[in-house]
Parts: sequence; C-alpha cells; structure tokens
Amino acid sequence: MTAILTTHALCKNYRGIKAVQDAEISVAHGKITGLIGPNGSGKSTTIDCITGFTQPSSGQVLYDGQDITGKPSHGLAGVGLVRTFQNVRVYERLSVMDNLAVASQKLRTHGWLPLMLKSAAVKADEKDIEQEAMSFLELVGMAHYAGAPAGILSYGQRKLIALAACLITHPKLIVLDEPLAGVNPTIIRRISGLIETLNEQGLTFLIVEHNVDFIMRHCDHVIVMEQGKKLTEGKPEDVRRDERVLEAYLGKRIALEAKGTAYA
Amino acid sequence: MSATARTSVSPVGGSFARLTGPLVILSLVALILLPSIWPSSYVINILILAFIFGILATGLNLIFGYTGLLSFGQIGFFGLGAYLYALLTMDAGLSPWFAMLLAGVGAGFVALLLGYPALRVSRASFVIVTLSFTLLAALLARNWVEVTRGPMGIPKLPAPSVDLPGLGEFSGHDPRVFYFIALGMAVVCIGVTYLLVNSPVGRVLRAVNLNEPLAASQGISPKKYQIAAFSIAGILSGVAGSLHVAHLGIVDPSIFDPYYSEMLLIIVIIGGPGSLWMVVISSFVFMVIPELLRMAPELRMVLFGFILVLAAMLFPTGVGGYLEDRKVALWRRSLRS
Amino acid sequence: MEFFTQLVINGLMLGMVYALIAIGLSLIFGVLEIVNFAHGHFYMLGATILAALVTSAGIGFFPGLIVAALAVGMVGYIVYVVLLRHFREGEFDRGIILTIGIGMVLQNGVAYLFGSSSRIVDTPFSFVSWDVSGFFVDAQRAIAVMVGAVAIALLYGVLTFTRIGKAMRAFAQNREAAFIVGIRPAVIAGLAVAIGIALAGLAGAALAPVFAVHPAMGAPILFKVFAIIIIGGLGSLPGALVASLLIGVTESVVGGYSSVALQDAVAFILMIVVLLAFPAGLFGKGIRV
Repeated sequence: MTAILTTHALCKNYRGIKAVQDAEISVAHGKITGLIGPNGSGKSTTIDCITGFTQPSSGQVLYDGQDITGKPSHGLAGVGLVRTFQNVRVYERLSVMDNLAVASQKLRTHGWLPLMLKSAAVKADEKDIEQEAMSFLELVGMAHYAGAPAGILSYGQRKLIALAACLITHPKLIVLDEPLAGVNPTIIRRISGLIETLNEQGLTFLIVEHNVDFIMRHCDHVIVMEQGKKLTEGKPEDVRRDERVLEAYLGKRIALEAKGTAYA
Repeated sequence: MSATARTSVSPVGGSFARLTGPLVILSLVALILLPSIWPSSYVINILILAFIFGILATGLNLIFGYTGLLSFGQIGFFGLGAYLYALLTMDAGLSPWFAMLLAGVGAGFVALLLGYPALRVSRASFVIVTLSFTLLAALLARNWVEVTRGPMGIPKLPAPSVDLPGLGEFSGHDPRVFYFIALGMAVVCIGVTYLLVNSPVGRVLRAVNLNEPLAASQGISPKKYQIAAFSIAGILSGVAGSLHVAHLGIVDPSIFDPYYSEMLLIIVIIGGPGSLWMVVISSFVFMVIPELLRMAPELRMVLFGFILVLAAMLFPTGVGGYLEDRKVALWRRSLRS
Repeated sequence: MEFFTQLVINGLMLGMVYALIAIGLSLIFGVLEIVNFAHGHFYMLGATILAALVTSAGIGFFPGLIVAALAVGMVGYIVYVVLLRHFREGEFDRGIILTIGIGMVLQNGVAYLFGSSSRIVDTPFSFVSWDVSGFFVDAQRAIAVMVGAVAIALLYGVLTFTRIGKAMRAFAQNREAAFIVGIRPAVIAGLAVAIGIALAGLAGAALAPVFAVHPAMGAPILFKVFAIIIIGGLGSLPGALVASLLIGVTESVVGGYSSVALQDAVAFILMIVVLLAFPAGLFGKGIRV
C-alpha cells in the first residue's frame, strides 16, 4: 500500500499557540482516509498546511513523491491535489456552468491572446469543457441548474457544485473539509454515495468530518487528532473502541457541560 | 457567458443581452455620422471628452468592476501617459502615433511594477498605495522642473494626423479629425476590454474577485491575474491621457487634479462596476450633465458628492448591477414555481 | 548640529499634529474597518469653524478650539448614525466610496458657502516665538502640539481606564468580544467615530492659525496620513503615533538638507519601502480585508 500524501513532523504555530504539533499523517493511495477530532484539535490547520493555504512552521509535506511543503495553493491543482472548504465556497455570481469552467485546468495553458480572440484550439477546449462539465453535473445530479447563478442554490446544492468543480480538475487526491456538515439527509446520502463511487473509480480522499456514521461506513482508515497532535489512527472499528478517543470527545463534552452549569 | 449550456431551468433572461450587439453597432454608426449632421465644435469637443473618459472609465471598470480592486492609480497613469506623450513628441521627437503607443505601454509597465508592492498586504493597502502613486506622480510633475517644466507645463503639443491614401493628410488639430481619432481609439480600447472580459480570462478575473481562496485552490494564481488586469487598466489610462493632452495641446500638473479622480469614480459607480456598456454610457452621461446643469461648479460637485453617497447607500452595484440582480430574482422565481 | 536639533524639534512638532489626525483615522479603521476618505475634510471643517468663531464671532482661541472640536465630532456622530451605521463587515469598497462622497460634499459645500479663498486666523500667539534653551519654537505651533499631546493623553486614558474605552479596544480586536463586555456595538462604534472625527477637527482648529484656512486643505494632509497609518500598521494606535513622529522628523530633516519636493515625497517613499520590507506595517497586525 503506497501513500499518496504524507506529512513529517508537521508543525504550525500561531503567535505561540501550537495549532499543530508534529503531525505524522499518511493518506494511502486509492483509499478514503478520515481525519477526526474535537473542535480546535488542529484538523483544519493541518489540511490548510497540506493544501498551501497556510505555511507550516516546520515539517514536511510530501505528495505523489514531491516535496510540496510551503508551495502556494494555486500550484497544487495542476498536480492533482484539490480541496473543498468548510463553509462551502462557490462563485455566487457566476452560473453553475461557469463555476465548473473556471475550475477546469484545460484552458490554463493557453495564452491570453488566443483566449481573447477565441482561437480554434480554445474553442475546441471550451466545447470539451462544456461537455465534461455537463457530465459531472449529471453525476452530482445538478445538470438542470447549469445556467443558474450559483448564488441561488441551497447550501447542500452548493456543496454538490463544489464537489463537481473539484472533479473537473481531474484530481488524484481530494481533501474534503466537512462535506456533510449543515446539509439535509437526502444530500448527505447523495454525497456519501458519490464519494463511494468515485473512490471505486480510483480517486483518493482525505476527509475531515464529524458525522460518525459516515466515518464508520465509508472510511478505510481514520486518523484522530487532539490538541494539535495525532492521538491515534487505525481502522474505523478499532478507533471507535479506543478509550483515548472516547475520552477526547467525551472528556471535552463533560468539561463543556460542567462549564455550562457554572454559567447557569 | 462564454460557456452557456442547454438548460432545463431557465427564466426569460438574455433578451437584454441579445439587444446589446445591435445597439452598440447602431450607436457607433450614429457617432460616425454625427459630425456631418451636427457640425458644432461645441458638441464635438464634449464627445471627444466622452470618448477619452470612456477609455479611462473602462480601465477602472476592468480593475475595480471585474477584478475587484479599487484603484486610485488610474489618474496617475492618465497623467503619466499624458507626460510621456508630451516628452516623447517634444523632446525625443517621436511621431504622435508612436508616442501614444509608448505612453500606453509605459503606463502599463509602471502599473506592473507598482502592482506587486500594492497587492502585498491587503485591499486596504492597495487603495492607499495606488492613491499615493497618483499623488507622487503629481508631485513629480510639479517639482521635477528640468524634465516636466514644472507648473507651467509643456505647451504646443502636436496632435496625431491621419494620412488617407488618395485623400490627403488630415491634421488632428482640426477637432473634426481629432473626433474620429478619439472615436477610433475608444473603439479599439473598449473593444479589446470587451474581448478580454468576455473571454475565459475575464471569467477567471471575476472568479478571483468573487472568491480568491477558491480560485487559488483551483490552480489560479490570484496575484498574477490581478497584476495583469492592473497593468492593462494602466495601458488604457495611459492612452486616454495621451489622447487628452494631444487634444488640449498642453500638459501641466493639473492633469492630476482630484476632480478627474472623483468624476471617474462616479462614472463607474453609477454605471455599475462590472457592467462594460453601462459604464461606457455613464461616461457619456456624466460628460454631458455639466453642460446641461448650469450651476456653480462647487454646487455641482456637492450634488455629485450626494449622488456618490446615495449610490453607496442604496445602489452599491450601480445600474448594471441592478439589472443583474433583477435577472437573479427571475431565476429564483422560476425555481420556486 | 544645532541646525539638526532644530530640525528634529520642528519635525517632532509636525509629527504630533500628524499623530492627532492619524490616530483618529486609525481608531475608525480599527473599529469599523472603514478607511475614512473624508477625514481630511473634517480637519478642514475644524479649521473653518475655528476661523469663523475667532474672526467673525470674536470668540477666544481656546474656547473656539473646544467648540470646533465638539461641533466636528457632532457632525461625525451624525454621519455615523445616518450612514456608517448601516454598513456591515467586509464592505470595504463601499465605505471608501461613501466617505469620498461625504468629502466632496464637505469640501465643495464649504467652498460654496464661504468661498474658496484662503483665510488667515490671527491670535495673540501669532508671530510670537519662544526661546527654549537656545532653540526657537514658534508659539502657535507649540500650542498646537500641546493641544495634540493633551488630547492624545486623554484618549489614552479613556482607552486604558474606562469601561467604554476598554470595550472599544476589545471591539477593534474582536467584534464578538464587545458583546461580552455588555455594551452595544452601535454605541461603541458611534463613539469611536465621533472621537476619531473630533480629533481631526481639533487638529484643524489648532493649526488654523499656523496654516492658511481654505476648503481644499484637507486632501493633501489626509493622503500623507494614509501613508503614515500604512507605515504604522493599519488599525494600530501606537503605530500611528510612532509613524507620525517618524515621518514628521524625517520630513523636517529632509526638507532642511534637501529639497521641498523631496520633503513632500518622503512619506510615500517610506510607505513603499515599509510595504516591501514589513508588509503588515511596523506595528501592524496586518488586518486582511
């Protein structure tokens, strides 16, 4: 089993606060890896470091055999590493179709002049993009919204568009930041099913999620973080039984409840 | 939109967009015929100014409306282009046309150099750095007397002339000839911007404006696009500046007057940032209004100030944005039913 | 050496005046994240009101100062209640467009009502200079500096020791924190805007006898102060103070040894250098907008 992504001794400090400490994370090729942990355990910071949205303070990120530590985010989509965001991001004033067209990597290699004058090659690529976008929109079940501005869609529908926009970049690894948070059960089922199907087709996922049911059912491997450190990792059923994991979650909840009564 | 698709959910939208092409061509024909129908030099001079401001406003629209960066550097590039034109024709002895080209390129190049430090920190610093550039340029024009001749300016500038084979040479000092030169430059500048904003590049510029982190996650370098757009906007301003002084026949530090900046901002805000044609129409409207409103200039500027305040409070996206919002509302309604 | 010391003294005095304007601007930015493009015009308004009070109404210079600052602060508060209050976070460009509009109304309104010619304000301190251990200090400027120092000290006291001042600082750091303190955000923001704008009015009034008063006097000083708050770090009050003094002294020294043109350019050149070397400003937290 080869890893497509590994981090070595990854650290991130914010003004003296150690958000991430010596994180050793490994994402196996072709698998679905879950990254879980209580709020503030450093999951989001970890994936920000991986996807170039923040510079790690120290440590190393290796992706597909290359050192991508500190590489800016815009350099990663081209090598097949894309992500979604916790509070879903789409281009609200662009049509759904244009949301996908922007994400496509196809036109990036053309110069500005051919793009402006719509050379034959550009036109051909545009046509390809349109077809490809339609097929991905059909896959996520949003094809009939292709011409609508993304801003009019519901939160869950935007998550589907965001996922389709990831797919059109032809990624090898997709990092999903809470893909199920805040969406209704129908769309949860749809997104879960999509992840499963895409994974069967060979796509690798690293998923930050709180939905235990999803993690248990779909992840091949789970990494648990607590207070910026990796607490444990393993198969979902093993992690579930791990007392330290229960403590990390429950301990926090009990502490919160205690706080709640103190305030009341 | 360049990648429109077959859709099953769709409101009526697009009827306005379909009319744009014919309307633009019709207006262009009218503008070409106008000097022969209405040969008033008063009208012609107002329209020349409208062409120049149309170019200038299109430049600001590109960087602010499409790319989302509020630039106060445009009048700086306008003045820079004006001085480059004056110095290249008077001191370097270049032909007016070549000088005009270099004025645009020079302003664009300075924008390229300025873009990097200006975009280093935040949008707030971009605003202040570009503003400072304009002030610094004005300071230089006033004080670097050996080159700029200081407050007196450089008079007796040449105007480009048009040599038509078989018909002879037409001097740009004739307002009716200059009218066509300015019209031609406006068509080229606005036309290029039209091609740009309606191409995949324009789509990416809008995307960067709407959501920078998302664009970055999709392999788009936001800075690269922002700096490139800023540079193109600089070229447009530089060309507009050279046209303006070629028309006036003199350049002096008053080319950097805050009045120009304020007018430019109003034109773009009322027209609607991100709406190419609305901003062009707005340039014409705001060049004609002062001629219709015969009031004290101070009072007129008070009125314009109020318009800006009202626009910022009620209509932050201008006329063009209002039309776009109507379209979105139609979409929502069609989804509900 | 003596010449140099004299230049530094002049520079510190100039810097103190910049500080008065810069701190107000920075306070408003810290609380509302609005870059107030009308700030210089409020400075002009303060000067105009003082000129009217002293020359036309025959009121004394010091009472005039207080009345002018209060009146300008009041106008600022009204601007907040009527306009700025309706702004939400992240509407950065709208704030600029709005305040430019306000500035146009103020400048051209004053020009229309009072004419655009310059006016000189005479006070008992005009053309008096004090000899402070061998160095000449222009009395009117010295008074402006003292007024500025007192105002800054007062503001420091309010921000450090009073509940509302603490709330203001908390608010600038973190909007939610203000709710915890239990003071309504609108009250905090309104007061911050009123204080910030009153400081600009005070600066204008204190300097009215030093410079000629005219409707367009606000823009040049505003732009310089913009450069100062970028150098000091947007939203940082100590940064604004230090950068003001730094620019004041540098300008004065450059002006003394070199050309006046370079003197005017110093602030902008330093700003570009600081942006390249320390993008967040010398003291800044580098607020991203």
